[in-house]
Amino acid sequence: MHAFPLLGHPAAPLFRTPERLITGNGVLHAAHALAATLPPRPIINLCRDRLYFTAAFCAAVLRGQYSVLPGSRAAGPLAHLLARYPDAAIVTDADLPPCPLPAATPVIRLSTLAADGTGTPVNPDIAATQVVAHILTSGSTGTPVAHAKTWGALSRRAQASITLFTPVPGKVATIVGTVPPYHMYGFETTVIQPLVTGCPSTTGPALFPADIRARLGQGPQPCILLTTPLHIRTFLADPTPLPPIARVISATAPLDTATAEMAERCWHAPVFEIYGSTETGSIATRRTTATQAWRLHPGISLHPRPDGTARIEAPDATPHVVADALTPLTPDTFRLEGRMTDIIKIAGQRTSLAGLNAILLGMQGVEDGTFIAPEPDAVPGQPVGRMEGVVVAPTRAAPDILAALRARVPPAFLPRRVMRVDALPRNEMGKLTRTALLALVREPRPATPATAVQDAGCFSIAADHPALAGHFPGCPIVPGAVVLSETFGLMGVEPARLEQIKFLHPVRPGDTVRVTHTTQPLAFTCTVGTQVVAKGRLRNGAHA
Amino acid sequence: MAENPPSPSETEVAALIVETLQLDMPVSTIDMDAPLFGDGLGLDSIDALELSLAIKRQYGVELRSDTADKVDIFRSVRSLTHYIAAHPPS
Repeated sequence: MHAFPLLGHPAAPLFRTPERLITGNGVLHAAHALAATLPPRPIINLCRDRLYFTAAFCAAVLRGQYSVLPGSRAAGPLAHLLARYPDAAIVTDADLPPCPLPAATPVIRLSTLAADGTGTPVNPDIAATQVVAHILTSGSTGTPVAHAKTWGALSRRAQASITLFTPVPGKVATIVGTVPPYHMYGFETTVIQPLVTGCPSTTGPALFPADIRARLGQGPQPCILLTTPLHIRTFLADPTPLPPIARVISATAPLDTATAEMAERCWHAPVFEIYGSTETGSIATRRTTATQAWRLHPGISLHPRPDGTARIEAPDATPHVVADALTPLTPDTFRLEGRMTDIIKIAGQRTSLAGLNAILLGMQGVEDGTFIAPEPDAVPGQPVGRMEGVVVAPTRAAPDILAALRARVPPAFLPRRVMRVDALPRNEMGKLTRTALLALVREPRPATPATAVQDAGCFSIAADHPALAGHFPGCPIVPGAVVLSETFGLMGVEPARLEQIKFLHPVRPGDTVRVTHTTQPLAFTCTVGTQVVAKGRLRNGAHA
Repeated sequence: MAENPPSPSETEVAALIVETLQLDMPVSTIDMDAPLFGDGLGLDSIDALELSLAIKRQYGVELRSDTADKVDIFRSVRSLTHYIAAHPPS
């Protein structure tokens, strides 16, 4: 039986907190101290901070227990986990999501870590076969399926992917991750990679562009930005430049070439994608702008199956059949032909459309209905697409259905809107095609023909207008309420009839705002030059 | 519903939220004190990220997690408006 040490490089700095560097021995000190206080149970590791998460993970390993990774910290998934692991204890460094806890479930709240012990802590060899983590995925029916990860599989995978994490040969790079440690991708790259190969990982907030700039600026250099297509698009949309990056690594969803090219141009760093799944972990990588061919990590083999999918084999891991269509090119490269359509991924979380639809169809008063997944390939600079719902539910209001879904569906998959229709556009086979569904939801609502556009005149707000004082001082913008009151004044309508308003662009003092409107429906548009600054609709019958 | 009527700034921030996140609700129905995340508007961290860019574009105010707890910033439309008003454009 073979074994691998819990830490590959205990003397190396493994975590960069906003305050200081924590070495592997510091992590071990904290883990030993925590292990002494843990009950003899598996732990549901809800720590958000990578260092706390890692200390709790190591503490469980030292006790011969495994960590259950929630994948998401939302209340719904947590309730599932608690039902599935009734004997587990919760370890958290933050408030728990609002979810009823069984009285018997111990909750260990971490507010400090004992990383400053004296002497050299024990760094034990862990058997390759020891199960150290359980990670849940949404099965095809929507019921979560647990995947056990052994220390051998995680440890060997981290060693095999080391070249991806060494953009400067012979020098470890700091991993600045924007993905949580309790998700498989973040777990492998920002927790296991440091433990096994000694690459330091940053802790501290990593959500907003300003946070990421702070993390990257702290170093030590070189830094790897470990992130997702969604984050890359958002960071590219931010005008403030990022500190130097040696490499960008992306996973959780396909990265389009246009975004990868833009990122390489703006950040002067190559962009690599990881291909993998919760079941297999990361198995291959490619530089998005250079090649369609994915290169398997050393030690991993791919065995094609007649249906176009493939079985993945890796040392110390259970063989797994991936749901995607893969074509082998050489013994260690393959092309990704297509992704299974039932699986929806948003922000690194995934679920099955069938599972979501089962929830919708199981609701009282819903006679028929379906979720519509967003377009998988978003345009660079555009916000991520979100789910929509279409239902046939004559007795229930759309907001009511949305509220009921909120209790059952993780936030990432909660529909942006639920649209009620008389019938779904099922074909003669009873099937719903995406094209028919999109035609249904994108079709303009039937309305009485709009009357001719009338010009109501113009207004301009001077810089000394009293409404500007105190309204976002230092950033002179005409308040929306002033724009509205001037608009209504020109149109001669009552402001109380406002049904919908969109402010599309700020209005500056001195801008000449032209107001045009229709009377049937009663709708208006405010423009400055050719720029539409606001649009709105009022209830009819309000015309003075 | 809110005890205090929304101020013009709050209505404007609410409109920015509706527009940026393409929420299917009229601005006038948003409770300025309701939580943006969880049971209120049901937003998540992706929304927070998108919203942070829209706020930077519109007001020049940059959100960061370590100067204030983002849970507090995004507690409600009112608290978000307060945060924007209290921070000069960067």
